[in-house]
Amino acid sequence: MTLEFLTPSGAVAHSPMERQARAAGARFEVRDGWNVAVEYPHPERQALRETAGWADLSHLPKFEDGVDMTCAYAALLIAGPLSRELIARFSAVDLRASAPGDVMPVSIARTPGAVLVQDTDRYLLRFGAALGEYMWEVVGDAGGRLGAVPVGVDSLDA
Amino acid sequence: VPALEYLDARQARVAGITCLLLRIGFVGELGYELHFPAALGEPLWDALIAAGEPHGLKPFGLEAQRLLRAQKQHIIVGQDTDSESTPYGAAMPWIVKLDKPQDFVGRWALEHAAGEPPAAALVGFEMADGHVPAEGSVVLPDGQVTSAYRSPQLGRVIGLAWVPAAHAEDGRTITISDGGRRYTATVATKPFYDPEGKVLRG
Repeated sequence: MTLEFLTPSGAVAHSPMERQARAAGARFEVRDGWNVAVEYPHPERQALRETAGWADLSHLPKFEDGVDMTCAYAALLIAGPLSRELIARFSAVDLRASAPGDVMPVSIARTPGAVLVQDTDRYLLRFGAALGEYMWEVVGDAGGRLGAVPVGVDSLDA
Repeated sequence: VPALEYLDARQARVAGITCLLLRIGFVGELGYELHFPAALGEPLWDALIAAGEPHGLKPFGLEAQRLLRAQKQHIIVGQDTDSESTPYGAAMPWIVKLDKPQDFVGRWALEHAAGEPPAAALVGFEMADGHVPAEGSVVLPDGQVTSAYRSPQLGRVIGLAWVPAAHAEDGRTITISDGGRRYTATVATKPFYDPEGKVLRG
């Protein structure tokens, strides 16, 4: 028997953070079989330039030992000049010494996860899919105090 | 699903979603288990509810599941067993295949356990007076209740308990101590519901 059933197919997949993204005003588009929050009705790019933004990237393919773990994990990208400051509020990981490309297994808000360092102001957090709602709340709570906002994936290309 | 027999497994598309489809029967009725990517849970749930609506399909909760499985004497590992339990004591020696050519986790321990008759046995019991003993209640002189439920379907209070192996026979009276009082129960080694497994395999 193959493990084909582990890979999302045949219906639109939903992130565990979709409801919170929708409540925050997200506009969704179906991309690669996932309902993806692409845009919010607030100044996303300004936040990414001046404070920080978080984007739900749970739709990104994730593999472990050749097995598709895309649906086992959810992912949030934290980007912007205050992204390290934001992450420091719910994780003890020291990102100052990290370099782009580093993957660090860390505790995120007291749950097992990992940080992929994309750049000095851009970090991808990976954590258990079932913890998505909790993680959005933690990041939103910490981010709100820093002026960070949720951002859509389309704001990340700029 | 034609030709999917009890305990068969196969990959199948359900509501357009590729699932691992298992025919199992934890609750003792004809049943299937669907495994699928978590992110597709909502569309699959919606499709099942819509397709089942004309047939009276309803979701059911864990409490119902636990009672129904107890009627079948299907164990919950960790509730009805602990780290000292073996499949031999838990009345499921059939599940161990020591003639397998491959090695497997626990083989050494099971080979040793298979050679010694277990001191304790997991059995079903039925309360004489309708009292639901607390899980963890002591079975005198040596044992404990691991599960107990009032079954509306059977009209009885049933459960699972570890008892001395010599007491594991149908109709044997056992004494359960709960909250400082003693209660009488009767041992049942066969499932309370569908003991022949006709519903499950039918």
